[in-house]
Amino acid sequence: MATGTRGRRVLPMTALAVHRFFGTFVARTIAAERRREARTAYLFLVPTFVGFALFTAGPLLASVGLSFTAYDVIDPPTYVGLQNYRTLANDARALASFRNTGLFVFASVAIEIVAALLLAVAVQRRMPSPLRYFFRTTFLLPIVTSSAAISIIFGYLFSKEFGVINYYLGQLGFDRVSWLTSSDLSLITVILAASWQRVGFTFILFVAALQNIPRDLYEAADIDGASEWSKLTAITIPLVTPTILFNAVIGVITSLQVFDIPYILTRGGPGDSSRTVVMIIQEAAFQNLQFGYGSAIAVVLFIAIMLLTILQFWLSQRWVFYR
Amino acid sequence: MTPLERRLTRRTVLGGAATAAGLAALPAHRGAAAPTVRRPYFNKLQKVKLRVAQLGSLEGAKLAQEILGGFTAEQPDIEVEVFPIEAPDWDVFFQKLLTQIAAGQVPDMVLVATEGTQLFAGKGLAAPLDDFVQRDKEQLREYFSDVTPSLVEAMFYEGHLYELPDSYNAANIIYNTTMFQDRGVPLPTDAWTIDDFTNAMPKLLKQEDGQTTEYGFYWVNRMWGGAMPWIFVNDSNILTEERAPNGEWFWNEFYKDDPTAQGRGGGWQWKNSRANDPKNVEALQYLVDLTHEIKAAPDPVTSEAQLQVVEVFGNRQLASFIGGGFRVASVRNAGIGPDEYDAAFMPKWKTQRHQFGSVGYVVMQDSPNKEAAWELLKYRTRKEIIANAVKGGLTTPARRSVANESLYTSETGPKSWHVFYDSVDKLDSAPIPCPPQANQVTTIFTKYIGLAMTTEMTPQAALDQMHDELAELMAQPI
Repeated sequence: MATGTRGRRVLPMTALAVHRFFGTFVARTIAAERRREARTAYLFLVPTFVGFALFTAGPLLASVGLSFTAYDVIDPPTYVGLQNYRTLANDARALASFRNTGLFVFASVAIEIVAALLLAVAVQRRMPSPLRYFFRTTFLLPIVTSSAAISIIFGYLFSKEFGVINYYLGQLGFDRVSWLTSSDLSLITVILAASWQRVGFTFILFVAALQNIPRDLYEAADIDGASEWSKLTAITIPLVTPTILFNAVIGVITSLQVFDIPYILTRGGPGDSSRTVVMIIQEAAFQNLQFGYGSAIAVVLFIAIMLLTILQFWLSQRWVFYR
Repeated sequence: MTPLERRLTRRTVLGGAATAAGLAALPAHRGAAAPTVRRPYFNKLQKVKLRVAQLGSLEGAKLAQEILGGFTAEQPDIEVEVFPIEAPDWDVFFQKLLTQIAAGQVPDMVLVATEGTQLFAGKGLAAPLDDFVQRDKEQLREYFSDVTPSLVEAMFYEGHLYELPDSYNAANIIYNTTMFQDRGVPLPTDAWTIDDFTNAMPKLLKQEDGQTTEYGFYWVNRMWGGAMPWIFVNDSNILTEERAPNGEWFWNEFYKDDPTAQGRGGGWQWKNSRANDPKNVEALQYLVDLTHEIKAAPDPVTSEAQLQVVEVFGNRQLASFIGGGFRVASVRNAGIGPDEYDAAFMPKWKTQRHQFGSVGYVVMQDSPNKEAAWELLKYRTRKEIIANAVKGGLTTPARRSVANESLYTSETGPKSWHVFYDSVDKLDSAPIPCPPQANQVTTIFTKYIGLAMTTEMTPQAALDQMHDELAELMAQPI
């Protein structure tokens, strides 16, 4: 090994060249390996990409394109520029459906999260295991029931004249309530039916989240003499905020697209009091054969969903606690 | 790098995805162009498979398949496949069917009620049958002589015939004879009036603690059998009625000597709104009072819940409701025997004009098998085939002889079965107003009738708004 002018040991030129050569060789090998891995990854992603492109991105692009046309399925589409969007801005029914959907989203998501969290906390309390499994299964069952069946049953339950709800209200001395045939109540009935069906999904996620909370936190709180309410607000809720965020995001996205339950339960009525945006889209496109206009409403709904989701994630920085 | 990996760069994958997306976006335009293809009519018959769409369940489709099975035995080269589209009402059926058509799945034939005749004809989806009818007029003469003209006229659009009716239903009153007799209410006669009906209602309802537990009358808020029969007997309609020209070729050929065919034309035209006609306001106010003043009728239900009406009737909680011949089977299935119920005309108000909806098969314009479809259509209108299809009172046959000779027995009831056919044969009658925009008309109609019935709007205000929306709709091009 040679010694430099200041006593430092230096590699001879040949050794340096060899080192550089191997260094470059290793670097190139690693880069090649990474590229190979990436290609393999893309290979695995191809089915998903193609599926997404064919069944999600394609229809989405088609909808955006159709929203600038007048198209009735039978005759070729004709370009109309922004006419469909101008029509939407002046369509009182469509705007009412956006208002109804907004109310539905706010109320149903709030009900689902609060009810599911309370049910999950209740189920986590000490009780015989079979009983716990029974409650879990029972609360989960509505998810696997079809919305159509639920809507029909709720239609019978909430029937003004022949419904069970009004029967028992009558036994308690109350007048019959027009659950489905009053503009003030129809949307509330739809919210109740939808929340009842969906609460099981939210519930099971909360059960999983609660099981991940360390028990020693509760034991420490017990030693400090904390009340049940304090434990709920100071331990449970903060530690399940990521699950609350997840449920809120999923709940808002699915609620904005609600269709089946109001369609079967009230047909959007009385008047337009329980008509939702997707019902208006379906009506415009498939009933009135105005696929261009229906697409324009769908595009606006898509943008609304996107913006609300971004907003939720942005706001979550202030209240979601990640351990 | 393997050849596959060489080809699979990120750019390739994303490019491929974009292409796939573009391809997915294409069918809308390709589907749009497809219906413009017009096939010649009299194709030489080859081995073909006819796809027939109809409203109803799988069981209904199986029954139809059985009924049409004899056709394949006669015509071995023509296979028939009936497929059902489940829907609570015709408007939803049409929506689902149009979606299929938009996806490029065009059936050869579709069972279409009056609600959709002009929709299919006006949009160019259905093929006119004029050439076939004129060619095979001798074969059809017996059929038309057995079908009352009003049912056939409902199948015309702008001078062309699009369907051969095989069944129909007029809006009549189905009532529980025992409940009428027990409450001392005279049974309806053919000449009963709106006053008879009104006087009967307070006697037929039963109240406990101020709540009605048994009702005098119940109805479904829909175009057929909803508020419209009351508007009809009050001598009105929600749309103006005109007759299209150019039907002479047909009427002169088949109904020349029939006085009830005089004045008929090339099909009904409903061009303008008359929804807020004072007679309509009066009729709607009558229904509102029946529900909220007399409390003899509950709030009308939606189409989805119309089975509820028969269930309540079967539970003896309901004395009468609007129905047609198609209720004979369902009333029996609900547990009401033939001696416990009967049918009656709508009570006479200013008129006793009856509303009806007829049903037949259209041949789709884009079917490559029109000749085979026409053969099936003729087969379907034979007397024995229609009789088989309506057996037990599943619906009312378009053929007079089937309705009047053999269908209704002491086991099926009702005793006054004559009202079913006489409603369209002997009384003044007309189809429900169904222009090509029928789906939108139905939506607007049921919406404002519903708002009036829940007292959220007065009948006048509801019908004024209905009029505005219908007028705007009817002013738009089809």
